[in-house]
Amino acid sequence: MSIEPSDEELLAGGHAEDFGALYERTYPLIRAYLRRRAGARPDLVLDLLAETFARALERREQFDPQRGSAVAWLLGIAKHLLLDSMRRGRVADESRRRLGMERIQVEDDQLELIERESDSELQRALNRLPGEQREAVERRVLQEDAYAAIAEQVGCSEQVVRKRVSRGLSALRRTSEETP
Amino acid sequence: MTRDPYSILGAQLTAAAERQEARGGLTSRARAWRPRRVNAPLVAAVVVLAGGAIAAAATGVLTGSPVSNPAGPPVPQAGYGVPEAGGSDLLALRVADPEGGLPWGMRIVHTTRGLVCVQVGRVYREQLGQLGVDGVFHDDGRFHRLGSNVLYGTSEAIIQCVLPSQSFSYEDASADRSGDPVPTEGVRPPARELRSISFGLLGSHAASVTYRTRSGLRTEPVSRGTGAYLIVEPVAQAGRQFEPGGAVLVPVSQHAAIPPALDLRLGVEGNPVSAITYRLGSLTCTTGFGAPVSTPCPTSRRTVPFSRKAAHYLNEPLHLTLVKDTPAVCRAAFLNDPCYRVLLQFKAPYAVTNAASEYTVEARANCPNAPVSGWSIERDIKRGQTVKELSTSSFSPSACAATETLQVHYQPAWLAEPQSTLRPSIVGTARLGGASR
Repeated sequence: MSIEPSDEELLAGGHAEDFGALYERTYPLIRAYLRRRAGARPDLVLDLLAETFARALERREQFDPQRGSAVAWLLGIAKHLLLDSMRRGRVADESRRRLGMERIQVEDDQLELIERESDSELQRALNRLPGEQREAVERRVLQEDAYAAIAEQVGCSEQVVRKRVSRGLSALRRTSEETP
Repeated sequence: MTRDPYSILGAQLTAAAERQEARGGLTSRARAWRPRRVNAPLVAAVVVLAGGAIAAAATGVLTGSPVSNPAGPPVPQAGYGVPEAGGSDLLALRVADPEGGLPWGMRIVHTTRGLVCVQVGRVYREQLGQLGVDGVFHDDGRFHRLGSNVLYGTSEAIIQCVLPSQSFSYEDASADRSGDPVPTEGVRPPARELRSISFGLLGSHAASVTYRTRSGLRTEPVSRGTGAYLIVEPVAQAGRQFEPGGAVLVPVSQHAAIPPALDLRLGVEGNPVSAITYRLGSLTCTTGFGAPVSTPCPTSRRTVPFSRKAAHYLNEPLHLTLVKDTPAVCRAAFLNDPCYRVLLQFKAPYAVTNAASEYTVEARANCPNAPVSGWSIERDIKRGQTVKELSTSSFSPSACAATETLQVHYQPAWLAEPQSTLRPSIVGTARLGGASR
């Protein structure tokens, strides 16, 4: 029986294929987050997603699993890039430049089609989660509500909300790995 | 059949990781946390001096050399510009440090390039500055004045510059007790030295901010006229997941009945501000949660301020001249000798009169895995002026850079003037292979 490495182990692994695997596991969630925040601009979402993972690749040695999960770290980078792009009026591309990554050119309508299909997949995966986990993931990760606010409105402790988010994310990850 | 762009991105990332692995290291050029050298003989004196500066009253504080501008003397027509005459205002706002001592304050600086900059630091005798503690200024325990012209190209002070047409809320600019920002990478100082600094300009309609503290929510009025606020909180854990924070900048609504859409980040972890209360005529309302006023403010349609206008091509001629670098420069850039920088010349089709618009240069090679580079020309330019710009990086003509293409872009001031009809432009394109020497 093989034991799948965790996101954190993949990020800390240092091997190219580990990072590729981490991307495959986590990009739907990061993309969904960016879509909620950046609006219906598929080209912008792709740009932000690419720079998020390029920056993560550059700085993966700085990731400290003691401080939080890999997904939280990636979301933090995405959040920062999104805010920075709003300030500068364009998406940063310094990490991609340094890594020699070309900008991916794609037609908006093609990208929108893929986004719609992917969003349906994510929504299906979310729908398979227990209700309380689904609500916690949607509100915390996609809507960025504070733990305190969710806890207050749901009527439980922040710690319970954190556990629900953590378990929900783990379940989503397993689902994405099972999807061919 | 076209491949899924997300699969292409995955392949690109894996290839980049392989290249990184082959080089045996990371490529980040970000500044590392500078080691904090402790001068043993000074320790005792520092404890006394720093203790005096931090925990005791503001009287008797020794002063030291002012905070320098690492980018050199500022220029009125470049970068952020210089403070306009009479354009600097140290606000009356004072915020106590969790350990006491000199309070924190903020200054608003209007610059010659049309920016509104906010500086944050400790205040002593109505001057803004930094303390020589926590590894800053060799821990001399003195107060170091921060000039209103220390703005551009510095990571040595807490500064945020925006256009006058924008409101902003800057979350979690981590600093230490000195008032010096803490770099986001490398070794983190202990929690007791760290401060979480949040500040912003919320506009003339803002009345108060509500924010989280260890003991619960607290509401404080903002400065009249500017909506300025400043929050200084201790940091509970030095080891918490650290992101440098970021500013939400939104255009100030021209519609007096609608507040700026700053609620985008309210209440998010890392941002202590949970709500903003506005007075809109006779209506007092809030965005966010936890404020004493429960009436929600009317909202405008949130739009991400990206220009939707397609760039148009002007096909202006670009002249490229290769300027030979010294062998030492080539070696430092990992290039074979000879290597060159490019002197780029073009006639500006549009004027740049402030920091809201700019020309940028993008350099792109056609060979596989070649990095794309670029830079901004951050200075005022007259319409029709011949712009001469030396590339910031070097090229080797023996490598694939011979196929490099340089492209000059013009980005109009749509952030400052969202209704502007000016479109972004691609001024012109030229190949490095065709450059004269």
